[in-house]
Amino acid sequence: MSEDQDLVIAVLARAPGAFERLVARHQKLVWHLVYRMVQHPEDARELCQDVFFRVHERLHQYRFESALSTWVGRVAFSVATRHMQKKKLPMVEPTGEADESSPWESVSDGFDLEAACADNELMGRLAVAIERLPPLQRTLVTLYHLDEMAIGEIASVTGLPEGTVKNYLFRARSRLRQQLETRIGVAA
Amino acid sequence: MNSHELEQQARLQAQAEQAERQHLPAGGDPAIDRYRLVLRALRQPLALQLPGDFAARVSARMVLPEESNSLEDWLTTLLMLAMAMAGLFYVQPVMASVLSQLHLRLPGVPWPLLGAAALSVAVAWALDRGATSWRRGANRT
Repeated sequence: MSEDQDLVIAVLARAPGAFERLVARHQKLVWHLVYRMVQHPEDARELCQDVFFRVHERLHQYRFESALSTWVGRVAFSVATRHMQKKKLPMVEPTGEADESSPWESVSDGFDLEAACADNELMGRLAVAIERLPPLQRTLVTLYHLDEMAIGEIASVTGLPEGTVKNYLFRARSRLRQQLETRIGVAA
Repeated sequence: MNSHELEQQARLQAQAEQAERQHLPAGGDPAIDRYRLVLRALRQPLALQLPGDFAARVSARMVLPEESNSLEDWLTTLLMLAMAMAGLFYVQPVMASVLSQLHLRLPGVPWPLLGAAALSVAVAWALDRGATSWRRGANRT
């Protein structure tokens, strides 16, 4: 937290290079969050700039009550959400997903984890499957697994209750595993 | 999915997460291994990233308008000072006659002292503004 504090104080005092350091430190998180939500590279790049303009504009309102990354993430999430609402894009798909009815108990004995990891085609298809998750789900799994944010932090960034975050994570992973099984042809 | 299946899947996911965290060897339970593969896919960096100079570009776009604003501030201050001086020069004969009339009508009021006090306040305000602007300029360079 003290590193955050030093950086924020430096930016507010307009110290040379301080804001650039702040952007460099958080741009990955902001990109993950915004790109996963809007999924459109050019829009996402512009929105990332908007996020940092807002951060610069409102940094004096940051009260050190959470990590700076959480605060920046909250700004990014709000910018991305507003964009989605403006474009009338759905954030969560309707409940009662039809494709979750495949057999769960079907287990193939021939599955080799390391070989599957080395299979570029399979990993590529999984990447596509992640991109096809509903925007909110793919954002949450990215924050949790790629950015290694805690559930509490994600809840703080998105404003969702922790239980809801856990539920979305569970559903996203189940869905991906199901698609994986379809891909590798697990016998029913 | 019924509640039993949900519980089972939640347990498998938790076991897969734990196995990944502890770098356990694969090959135990294929159902867990499949979740482990999903977790590994989720940890893959995104194919698209922001350009390498993103931070520098955003930062430059933020700083440049501020610098031009500071120039505008200085020009505005200069203009206001010039206008104030011109105004004083213009109203000085009128003010002199007004002051002399006030002095005649209210001889008990210490007009020179009041004038000096007003001038002191104005000079103090101007010095404060100047010092603040100078400090801001020093921080930016």
